[in-house]
Amino acid sequence: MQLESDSIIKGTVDERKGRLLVDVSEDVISTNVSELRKGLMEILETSGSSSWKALYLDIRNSRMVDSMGINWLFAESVRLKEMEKTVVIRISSPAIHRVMQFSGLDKLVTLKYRRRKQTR
Amino acid sequence: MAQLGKKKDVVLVVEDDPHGRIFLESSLDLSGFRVIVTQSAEEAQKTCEDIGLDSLSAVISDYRLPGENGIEFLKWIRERDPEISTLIITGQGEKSIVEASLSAGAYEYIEKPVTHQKLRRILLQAVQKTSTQRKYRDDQKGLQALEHLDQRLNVVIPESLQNRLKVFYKPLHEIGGDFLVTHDFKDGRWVILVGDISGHDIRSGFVSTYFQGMFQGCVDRGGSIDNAIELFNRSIRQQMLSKESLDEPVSLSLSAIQFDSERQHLRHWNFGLTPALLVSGNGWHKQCSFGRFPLGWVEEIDSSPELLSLKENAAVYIFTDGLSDFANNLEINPFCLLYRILHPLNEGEDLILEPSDDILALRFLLKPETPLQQTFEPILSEHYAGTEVDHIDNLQSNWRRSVNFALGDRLGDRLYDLLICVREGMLNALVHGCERSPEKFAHLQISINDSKDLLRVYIDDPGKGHQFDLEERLNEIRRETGKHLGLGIIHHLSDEFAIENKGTSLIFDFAINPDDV
Repeated sequence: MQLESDSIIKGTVDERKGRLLVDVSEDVISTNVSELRKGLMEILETSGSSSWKALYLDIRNSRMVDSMGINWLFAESVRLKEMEKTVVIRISSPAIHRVMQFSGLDKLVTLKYRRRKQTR
Repeated sequence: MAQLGKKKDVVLVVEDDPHGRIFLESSLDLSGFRVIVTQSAEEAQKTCEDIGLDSLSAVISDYRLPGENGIEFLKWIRERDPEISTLIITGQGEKSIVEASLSAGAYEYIEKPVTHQKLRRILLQAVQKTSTQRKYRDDQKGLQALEHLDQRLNVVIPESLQNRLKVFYKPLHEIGGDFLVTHDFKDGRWVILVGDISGHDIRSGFVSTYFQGMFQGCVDRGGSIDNAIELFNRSIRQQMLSKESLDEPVSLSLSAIQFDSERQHLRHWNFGLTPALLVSGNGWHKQCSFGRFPLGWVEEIDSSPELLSLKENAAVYIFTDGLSDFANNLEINPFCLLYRILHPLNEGEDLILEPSDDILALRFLLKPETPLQQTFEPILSEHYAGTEVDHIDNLQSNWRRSVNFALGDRLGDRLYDLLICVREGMLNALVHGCERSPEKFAHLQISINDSKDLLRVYIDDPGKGHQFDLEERLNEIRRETGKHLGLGIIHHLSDEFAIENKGTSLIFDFAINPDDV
């Protein structure tokens, strides 16, 4: 089920595996945070929380996460944890990996890091 | 009295018919020309080779000849001397031959029967045309030689400055434009002057040469640089503008430095060029003053220099507007372009540059004992108003393009570490230091030290700042995520991080490690 279309954030529910797959196509930075926040909120509302247990946030197309981006990720992760959901973040940028490790987000969520060449 | 040809004007005639030959020879002789008569194209070609085409003023040939026809012969002539006028004699109504001869480059055709009057009139015009064409050709050759000389004289680096002065010069036009003048006062003082004359015509080239000669003469005889500048401004105002002329007035933009190793100071004059940039031994950039109008614009000028200390500074950079305009077109910072043209990425690399104006850029080492590679060099230096925070993504794209342009892939993955840190630092400077005001500016500087493989970033803002301990602040960040997170990110991603001036200056370093590529 595709949940969002032209946004920089899109969601799909994999009911068989019980996962909400969320793709981010841009950087997680101050200028995008507002759209990301709004987009994720809509995805969560549309998806219905009973059909999935884990949210897989794919930011492998992002090259950067800045402090406002980290704050947003923290806030969402805490909220989802309170909803008793698991959060997995897929990343491929070493710079983002370093920022996430520093911020301690890796203690709150599962980071799946596989380095790959930046294509954007 | 009928106009006569000059006896020095030689006309070559090619005609196989004996009657026609006699008529042409006597008619042309009567008209005042020296005549050489031949009977076939082959004989005429041999004559041309023997006496040289330059000694002929015109060639007239019948179309119908034994062997090679007249048009083929004229083609042969034009391949060897496109300036000489060639004429062909055709029979009446031979339109196709007329067309073929004109398209082969014949100056004119003469239809039979040929009369003395007609022949004289056409030959006088043809000889005149040859003379005009040859004069134009000679003028062009002379001009090319002058342009070449002008270009070479525009940038002469004395031997004693060879190891301290690195110059990039790309003239777009071969005359006028940018130039470099140096002068040794023989007492530990040097002056280096970069000029950019408006226009690229011979007049601009003349004014440029006049200034260079006048300047050298003036300082050679003990005159001060201030005096030389004032004198030139007066001359250009009086002599160029007083004439009633519709010409664009010529003006001169210049930036000059005079350094005095004994007194450890530097004087800087700037009239209309991008201000010179001083770079300290630890990578700090200081932009010299914006200066005044170009010379020639206003009657009264203040020629006093800006006085700067040599102590902390290691190098000075000067460039003409061609470099900043070209960088602007490429949407990169001028200093990354400057770095790249002074340091090609690969040995022998020749950057394909197609600027819209001349580029003259130089780097001068203020301390001769410092090897070129051991100093910091700017790759980005820019002041941003507080309101620019609304365009932070565009600024970031410019930083990325600029760093990439200067360094290629040398930073590898660490490019994004750098960009995240610069973004965090600049957001802090524009929001807190500049309070998003259009009148407050933050200064971003990125420099590279090639011998240490180190990239250094300075971010300064005009805020008041406040005393705090960096370690204490970092501990706070570790305890409480969200507060001052930007500082923490910079500290974590960079290799060295320091704060000065109550937090209004951030300095961070990135090691350039080939393993990261």
